Amino acid sequence: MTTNNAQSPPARRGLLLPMAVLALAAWYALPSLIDAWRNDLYSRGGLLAFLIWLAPQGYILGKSLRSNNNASLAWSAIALFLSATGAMSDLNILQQLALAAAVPGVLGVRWLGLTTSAAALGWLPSTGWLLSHWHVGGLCGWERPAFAVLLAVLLIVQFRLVCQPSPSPQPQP
Amino acid sequence: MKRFILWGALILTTGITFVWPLIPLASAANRLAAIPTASPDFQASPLELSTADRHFLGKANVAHYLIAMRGGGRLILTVIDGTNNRHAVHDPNYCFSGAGWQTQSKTAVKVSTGDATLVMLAKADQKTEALWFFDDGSKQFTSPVEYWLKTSCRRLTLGGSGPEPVLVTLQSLPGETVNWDRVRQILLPALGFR
Repeated sequence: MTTNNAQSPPARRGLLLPMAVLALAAWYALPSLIDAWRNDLYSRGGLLAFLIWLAPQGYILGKSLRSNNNASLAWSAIALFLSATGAMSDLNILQQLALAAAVPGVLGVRWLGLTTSAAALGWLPSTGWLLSHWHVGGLCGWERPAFAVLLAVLLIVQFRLVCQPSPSPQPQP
Repeated sequence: MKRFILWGALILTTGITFVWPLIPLASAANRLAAIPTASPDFQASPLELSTADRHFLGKANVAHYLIAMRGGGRLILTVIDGTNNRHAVHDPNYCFSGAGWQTQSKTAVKVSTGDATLVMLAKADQKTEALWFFDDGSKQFTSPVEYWLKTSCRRLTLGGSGPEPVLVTLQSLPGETVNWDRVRQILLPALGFR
């Protein structure tokens, strides 16, 4: 790990593209998400679950920035594809999944992105449709945040076990 | 090189996501307008939508009638065409469940050229019955996934994959009974769902 925590100019430029993809995905996904979290009884607690989902991503981003990890273009490409197909087919779920996929692009994680994207189940309104087959009357509001906390803990544990960057070699005298 | 391609894809996606939804699609408004309001078998009176319903449905085309069947039985008919607001059309089971209705029974029934779902609902001391299906102009089906696939393909192909399916719901008035066999065999064909 470098001793200088500031980002070098090339690394900052490297984040510009995934950040732009994230901004586009958020632009298209957030209106439908906010609408569902406010009005859908099966999405109660979704906003809190989303914020809990973001917390470990912030932690991972901080670690990535300090270790000058490269952004993951594969995840940004997936997010772009989902965003475009979602807009063309008018399917909210694709645009929301695009947002979930755009975040690992910024974080610079590869396989861990599968876990961060899967953890989006905690706040995706579509999971409410599946739940409605077993549970009548909507959610109480604690279920999604509780699930999100569980997934956040799992995510951080996985990150610390698998993805911690190895220390940089000591400079030769 | 990868970055250049991805920047190009980002610009292209931004353009597509902006322009694509602006391209108009042929709606099912004609099919809604063709629903008869009177026949030897029934009489239909238009109903006003509530402010909340109008707000929720947005630009969707809606036909909303109180149907009085000859020989007894009254129903509320709602037909929603989501061409201009696909999100106005939901899985009816999801809406019933979200509104606190307990589904006491759910039966797949045959209608003229397809399938429908008949549900018996209860909430506190209220009871009601409803028959619903999606109709694409040539057949009736009940799978919300099939509806999403059809409507999404239609938008992806700018209408080339077929006509827009509409959601048809017939609900009995609270405390009144309806002969659903007569509805399936007589009323639905008379309304044009055949």
